Amino acid sequence: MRDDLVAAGGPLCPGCGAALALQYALNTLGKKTVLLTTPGCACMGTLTFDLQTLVRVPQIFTLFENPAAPATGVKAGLDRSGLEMNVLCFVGDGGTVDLGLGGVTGAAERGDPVIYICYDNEAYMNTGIQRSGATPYGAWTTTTPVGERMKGKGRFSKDMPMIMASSGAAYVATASVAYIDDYVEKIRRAEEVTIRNEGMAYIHVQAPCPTGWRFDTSETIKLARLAVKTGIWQLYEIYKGKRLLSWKPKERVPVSEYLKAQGRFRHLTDGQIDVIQSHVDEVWRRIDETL
Amino acid sequence: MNEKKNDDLPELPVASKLRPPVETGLWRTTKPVINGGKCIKCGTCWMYCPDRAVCRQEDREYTIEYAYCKGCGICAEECPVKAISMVAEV
Amino acid sequence: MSLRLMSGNDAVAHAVKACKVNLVSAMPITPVGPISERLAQFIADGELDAKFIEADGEHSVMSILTGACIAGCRTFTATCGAGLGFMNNPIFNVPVMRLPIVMAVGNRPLGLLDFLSDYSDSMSVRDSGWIQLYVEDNQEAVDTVIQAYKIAEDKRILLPVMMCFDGWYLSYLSEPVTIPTQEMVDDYLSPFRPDHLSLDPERYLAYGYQVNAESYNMEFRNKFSQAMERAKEVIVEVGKEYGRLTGRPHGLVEEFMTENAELILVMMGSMTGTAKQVVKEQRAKGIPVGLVKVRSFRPFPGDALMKAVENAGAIVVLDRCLSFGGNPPLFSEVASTLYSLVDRPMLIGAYAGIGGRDVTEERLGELISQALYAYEKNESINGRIWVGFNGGAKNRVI
Repeated sequence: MRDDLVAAGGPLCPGCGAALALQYALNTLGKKTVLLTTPGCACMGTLTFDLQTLVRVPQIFTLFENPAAPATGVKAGLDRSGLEMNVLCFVGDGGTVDLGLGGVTGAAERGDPVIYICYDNEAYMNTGIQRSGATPYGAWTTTTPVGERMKGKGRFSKDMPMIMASSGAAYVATASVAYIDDYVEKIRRAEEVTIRNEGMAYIHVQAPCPTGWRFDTSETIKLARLAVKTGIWQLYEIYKGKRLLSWKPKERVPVSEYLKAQGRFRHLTDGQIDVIQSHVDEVWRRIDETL
Repeated sequence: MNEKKNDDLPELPVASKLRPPVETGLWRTTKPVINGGKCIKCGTCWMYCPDRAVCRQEDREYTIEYAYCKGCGICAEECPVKAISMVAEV
Repeated sequence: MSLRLMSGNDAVAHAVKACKVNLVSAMPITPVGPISERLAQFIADGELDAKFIEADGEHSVMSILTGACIAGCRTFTATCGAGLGFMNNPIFNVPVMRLPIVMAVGNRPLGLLDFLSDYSDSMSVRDSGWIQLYVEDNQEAVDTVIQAYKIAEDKRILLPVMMCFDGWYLSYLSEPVTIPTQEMVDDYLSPFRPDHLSLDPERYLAYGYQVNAESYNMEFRNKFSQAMERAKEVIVEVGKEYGRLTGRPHGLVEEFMTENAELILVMMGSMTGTAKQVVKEQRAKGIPVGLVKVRSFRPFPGDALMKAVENAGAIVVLDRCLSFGGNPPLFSEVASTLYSLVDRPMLIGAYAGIGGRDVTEERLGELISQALYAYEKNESINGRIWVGFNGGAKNRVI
């Protein structure tokens, strides 16, 4: 067994993308890290209910709607006592994009040197697959169900990395669990930025969820890779006002390959798929323009 | 169920010890088997296991810790030379 | 120690500075905004060695203080009304982690109906586990802030404290106050050294922890209740020691002219100042009226209150907020406390100062007459006395 910062035998689903994102986040940053978690999937992998923990780092389990603010307080307290430790918020998309938006962007604007990793499984998964502001267009969730009158989520998601960049985060990056080396490298850069006290570092990592997206547990990495290859999930960093693409697909795979592989998109009409493809094309057209 | 006397409790709920590992291997219905002959020791299975049930030995030999493997099948799917097969368990 | 004329806000800011807090975070909110502005200036000028965190909302304010306290900082904030409402969720989270945060609440109503002094804000969180102390004037606000840290950080307690002082009537009004010297406060308050809070990587403790419904949650709540119960003793102890230091002791309740009082008024906060004046005048005319000021609302000092009122024939409880559809907070507590008496005094409920409506001497005089009339006729009042209802000096019974 790997002797690392996450204990063996955790309760997350088989094939969980967030589990992968968590283990690399903690093991890259090391044990001198205060971990802040919120209600959601990840905290199930870090805490139990009987006064026992699942991670070998100090942890604060905070309110769902505002993990960034206690992180700010913790960092200020650590600085005061001269303790050099990372402060890491590991939060899902619901807590970041919806509930915690004010707090997270507030911390970015203040320049609090904390590392914030949003693991995006594109819905409120822990409570049973309800839509969040990060749920993609057309996706089935229990609150954007498919029936005669509704065909999944009707609008596109918030562009959280850009929101963070516009709010003053010193370092913003997107990542994917299919590209672990890239993810780990970005975590290291995030750590450096916070050590140099440049401001808040934000990483938005896509964490496919077999349970909520409805695919076989073995395909987590395959789908994460497809998300990048279709251009639906862009990999980039924003630092000092410039956007650096981590990877540009030479030719983007049609989005339908990614969408058809997931149960949550099974109901999509050709029209809806076209809408998604045009949206992705537009996003990349704009990226090409700014480069 | 843990019956703790009120006096034994700390003043606030705080987790102070690591939970002893739970045998999540009991969850699975298929298990991964590595074919040593085909394995090229690239470490892809080790890198992508969400439960870190793939262990790297000293000689870069990869083994599965079946006590924790949940049988998700990512290792078999991602292996570049298809050296891992998912075998049904009763 | 010299007497200086200053507003409640300024006075509280000076007291907080003397307590050498490490971290302040607050949002602008009338009428307590100037406290954080003053503290920010002290910090900017190097007079207070602390960090000022500009927050994005009261919810973040209390969350920031939570994190900072776990990391070992002595913290402070000030808010009221809608601001207190916005931090409702984080407020409930503080006592369960035994964090000795101190907050000044400049009482203001919840609900966009009005904005002058009213207790609906602090009462909305009376069940949360925060210690609540209500002060009569700016001097008591200063004294209570300093005592608040000593109470909160006491190893027997480790619960947060709200110092409630009436918005506008105390926060903006100027009164002569004495701020204890830095030497006095250093002598009185030792540095914050929480043993139960540690972010040591070797220990990897996890805070903010949710427990099983079947194994620990009632037991932890019992622990917190016991700490609240012990707080009664500590509040008295701390208040007595403060009295030895400054000549101004404080306790759980304050009795004013209660000896041989047939009618006793029970109240909290700034209206007590006016009421004491009225009671003094009435006593001079031979009317047997007295007053009990409740300072500690949480923990509720049942025993001390009982002792103060048990010989009265009638009690009027003045509440500065409503609880729609039920009995208001102070009335409920007093009624429950007195229930065990075999010979119960007549209990009359009154609403006074609601939404900041002025509690004048005339209105209080009228209240005393109405109460005494009912007591002498032995006819209980059907309803409550709404002090100053429809304006004027007549109080309406509804």
